[in-house]
Amino acid sequence: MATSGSTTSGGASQSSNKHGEGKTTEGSVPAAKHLLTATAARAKAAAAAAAEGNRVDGRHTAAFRDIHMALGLVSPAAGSAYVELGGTKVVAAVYGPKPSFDAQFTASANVETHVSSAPFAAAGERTSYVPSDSDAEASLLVQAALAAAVRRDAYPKSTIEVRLLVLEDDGATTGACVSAASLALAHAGIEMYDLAVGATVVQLGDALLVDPSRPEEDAAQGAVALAYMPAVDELSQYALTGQFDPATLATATELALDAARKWAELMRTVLRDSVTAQSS
Amino acid sequence: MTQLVSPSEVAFLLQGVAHNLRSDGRSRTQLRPVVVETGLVSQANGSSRLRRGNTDVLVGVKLSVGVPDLAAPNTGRVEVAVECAPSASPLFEGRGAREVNAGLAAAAASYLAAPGALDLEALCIRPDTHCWVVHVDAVVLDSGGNVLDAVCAAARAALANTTLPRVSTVPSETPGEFDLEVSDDPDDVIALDVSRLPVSVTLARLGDFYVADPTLEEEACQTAAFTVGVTADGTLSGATLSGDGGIPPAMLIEMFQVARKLGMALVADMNDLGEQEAKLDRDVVGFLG
Repeated sequence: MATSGSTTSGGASQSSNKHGEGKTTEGSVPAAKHLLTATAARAKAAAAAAAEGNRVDGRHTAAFRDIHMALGLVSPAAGSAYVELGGTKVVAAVYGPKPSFDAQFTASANVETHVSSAPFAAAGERTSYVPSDSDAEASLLVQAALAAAVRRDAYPKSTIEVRLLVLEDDGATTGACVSAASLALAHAGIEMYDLAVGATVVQLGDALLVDPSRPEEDAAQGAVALAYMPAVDELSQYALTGQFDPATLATATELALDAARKWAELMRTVLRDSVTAQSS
Repeated sequence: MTQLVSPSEVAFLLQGVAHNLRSDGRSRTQLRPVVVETGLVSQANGSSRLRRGNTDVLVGVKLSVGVPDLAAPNTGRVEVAVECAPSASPLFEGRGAREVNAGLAAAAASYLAAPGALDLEALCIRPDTHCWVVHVDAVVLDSGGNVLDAVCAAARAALANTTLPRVSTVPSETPGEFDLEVSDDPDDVIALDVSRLPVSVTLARLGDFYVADPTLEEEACQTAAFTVGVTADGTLSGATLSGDGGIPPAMLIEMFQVARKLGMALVADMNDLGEQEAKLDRDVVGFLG
């Protein structure tokens, strides 16, 4: 989810930082509190900048950060991609199509997605290697986003496994996961209807910010994180958090779609270049 | 939680939907009527049972005292768990059921525990050390499609029925620790404010159309489903797209408008039902009768 990790609303059932009943261990509290204070300070700075119509890194409200994409970093995988969206870093690897050994016959492929985060990826305390609730949620969201894009009917009785590793979470992570997974699927030669591209827009005060950084996401009242397939003009994922009125929502959606279209062009260039590099 | 459906059934259903006539006689944007009762479970702080078509959900709310999250020391929290009773369907068993339950719980929590839905600061007992944790447990007794909306609506009714005991903290004998003092008067309670709590409305895409509140058969034919959270005043409070297909942006914007209208009407209906129930002076006789 766009606002997973260190939420500031008291935490829903997915909070992986909850302490439950009982005392916390003395040693972890000062270190964790220091990180949280730093995170809170950055979020406040982002909110203050947005109130004046600016952003902390000086971007335009509708501009996304520098994107770096590379293919083929994971050698045993059928296809892989590495995406950097500002500070957010995601590695995607695709294994398959491999036969599924389920008892039930499936006429179309099962796209299994697993998102995991490195322990140092999020702000706040170190998280364990055991997948957290927010990772499980992200896996479901990314899986739904990719299932619409892949030509699943072309691979009956098969499973296509997509594994994502978030190395650093600096905002708009689910979107980066979707885009990285699409690149990896294309690199693996899996047949697709279109590339699914992720885009996130948050509402901070009165401002709508495209491609938020972590402090901007933390300070936001609401977020729209979507996955869009520009060539077939369909949304394969749409996740809204926070409270919106319908007019603001329509504007936010349009901004996110625009950002997705631009990123799709960049993704196609990267894929074309990798193919021409291989054949030359 | 899908059931098997033949290609002829799918064709029949889709053709009906194209003519704005669904298998149970509803139009595309019509919800099934809701029957709700509250206060059924005497051992819970709040409870409700909601029936909509064949879907039957029982929600119990229990409170416990916990330690506030480090990141939000002045607030309490809401934790949602859903269990599809294995008795309800042979599909609700084993490993598959755990994933279904977790998915439903996460989806329901995204509406019930969303920022602004409940006043979480009112759940704080003592900043940094004590807060209320509101455990919402939903048991799905029978599934007739669209379980998520039934769970959210039932949970909303149960939370409206929930009362918090009045509690204060006093310093205990050990320095730095605190004991809780609960009022002896069982009527000395605070009610939860659910005025900004949303209901969810799910629209399923069937072919080129979409239908509200899908039944099991319609869910088996759907390409994608879009769930929107709507509060009493029409604010959109969360939305998710699920399913293996996509939805064109133009259709999505329309679905938002339809869901908003249906959601506002549903909230008004449920508030009315709550008021009517409060006026009834009835003995609660029989649980599943």
